[in-house]
Amino acid sequence: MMNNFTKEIIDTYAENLLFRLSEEENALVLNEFVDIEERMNLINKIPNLSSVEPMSHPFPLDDVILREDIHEESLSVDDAFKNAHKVTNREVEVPRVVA
Amino acid sequence: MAYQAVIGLELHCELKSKSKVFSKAINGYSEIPNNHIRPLDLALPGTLPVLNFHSYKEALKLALVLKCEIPEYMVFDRKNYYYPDLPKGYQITQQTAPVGINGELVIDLDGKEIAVRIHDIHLEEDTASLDHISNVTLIDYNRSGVPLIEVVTYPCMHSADEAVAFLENLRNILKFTEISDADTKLGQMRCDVNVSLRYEGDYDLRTKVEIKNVNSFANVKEAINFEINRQTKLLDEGRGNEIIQETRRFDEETGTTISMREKVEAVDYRYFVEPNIPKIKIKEELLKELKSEIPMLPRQRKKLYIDEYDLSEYDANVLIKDKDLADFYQECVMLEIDPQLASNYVTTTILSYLNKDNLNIKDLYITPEMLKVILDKQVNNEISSKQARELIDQVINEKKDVEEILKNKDVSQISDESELLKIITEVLDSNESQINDYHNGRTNLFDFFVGGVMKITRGKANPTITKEILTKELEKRK
Repeated sequence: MMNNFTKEIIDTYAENLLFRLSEEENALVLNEFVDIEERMNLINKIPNLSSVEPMSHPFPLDDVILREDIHEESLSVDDAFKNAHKVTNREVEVPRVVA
Repeated sequence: MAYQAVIGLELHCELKSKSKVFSKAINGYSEIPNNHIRPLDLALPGTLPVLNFHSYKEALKLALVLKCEIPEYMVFDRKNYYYPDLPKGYQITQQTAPVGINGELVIDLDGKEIAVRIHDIHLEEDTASLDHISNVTLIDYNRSGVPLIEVVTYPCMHSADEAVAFLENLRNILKFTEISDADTKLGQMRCDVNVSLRYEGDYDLRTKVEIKNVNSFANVKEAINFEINRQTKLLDEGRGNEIIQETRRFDEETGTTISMREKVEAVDYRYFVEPNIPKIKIKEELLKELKSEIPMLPRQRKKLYIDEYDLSEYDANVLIKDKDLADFYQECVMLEIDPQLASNYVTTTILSYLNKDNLNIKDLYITPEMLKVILDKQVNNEISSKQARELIDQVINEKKDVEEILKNKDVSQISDESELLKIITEVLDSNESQINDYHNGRTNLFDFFVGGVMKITRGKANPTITKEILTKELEKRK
């Protein structure tokens, strides 16, 4: 079956998501998209698909119990950031993200 | 050709609660970074969001106040984007079925009623805050997960004054309903502004620019006016094509807006329904209960003050600007202090203390009960209005109860007519020439004689009786 995705479409998608792909990455993603599209096309063969409601949750629940507004003690900075690459003055440090 | 500005607002407002919207961390302002954090706020593996019932109710309450249509189910969506302020890589928000759509807020501006149409309001989680220092960015997750309401208006406002009036009204409502403290200084209210111009009489919308994260109402006003002027100039010079769809930011120092990025195509946030939070059926009984909890809103209070209490519009506006001050005043009226008398003292003597040191009425020692004791004495002619003001000052400054101050102070008024006559005679005897001037038309000297009496009695002379006797005595000396 014909696939609709192209290298240019992948680049546009990446741009809309605020990042850029290398040639190699683009090829990898394009391959995956082709795979996904093939599976979609398979599903599209099922009759009366448009009458099926999209499912977001497995079961309809009408009596969801919500959480009471009670707070708990904070994690300590030592525990919370044990795996952080760098911590400066109680804050996680990352490379500057704005110009 | 005349242009009409078309303005829409997107307002983010932090909700009041003890814990965050989906985690059990404290929801509160803190100077210390990362001391209000739970595993969910850092997106640590194995954590799941559980909706805070209180935030759920407050969002519904605001939807009711803003006369929105409310959906059958509360549904959350994921807005996906990558940035260090968002540890999960997505924000839990509402897009499929916001908690309220198609609402309105009626505001008063220059004697006119204006209905500002609300496109939708939605409940979401706030992001972490970032500090950019030299070549690094520091992340504080205290704000991550704080309940946030976004109010989106239609592009239906046409001036900076209208936009600011809307924001002030909404802030008052948030405070009166106690849904939010809505303190712009603490970043609890943040605003994006959309501005475009069109020819007067046109209906179609033209290219808009978005000004991001304007953090005070004064800046909103300045940013809109700058943008209107900038776009007007471009249109007048035939350079309308230079007005492009873009995101700008407001620069406080220069009072201008600066281009950040062009919006060629909308960023794709890959919204989809949040599968980790079940759809929640919004029950009719709960909505009824919430409706009954909505207190009298600022606009209703203003009407009450003007129509029932006979206050001026100016005084009514002063009172409803601050919920705590309005509550204080309301309590005074409940204690049966004359509404006008209470307003006179609350909007002058007491308010001057609040303005002077930027305080809240709750910071002052004086209570409505104490004010009642003082003003009852004034009404019963036991003390003068000057003495009443002095007593209020003392209660506030010395943080002592009225009775305690009165024990150590002689504030009794001189109402004895013979005693007052003696003092008035003394004043008149020593001011013969002023009496002549008075009879020759300088009637404002009357206050000079009253002043003389007050000086001798140290302000204790009963002003009403003093004036009566003084009028008679001056007549006699014609």
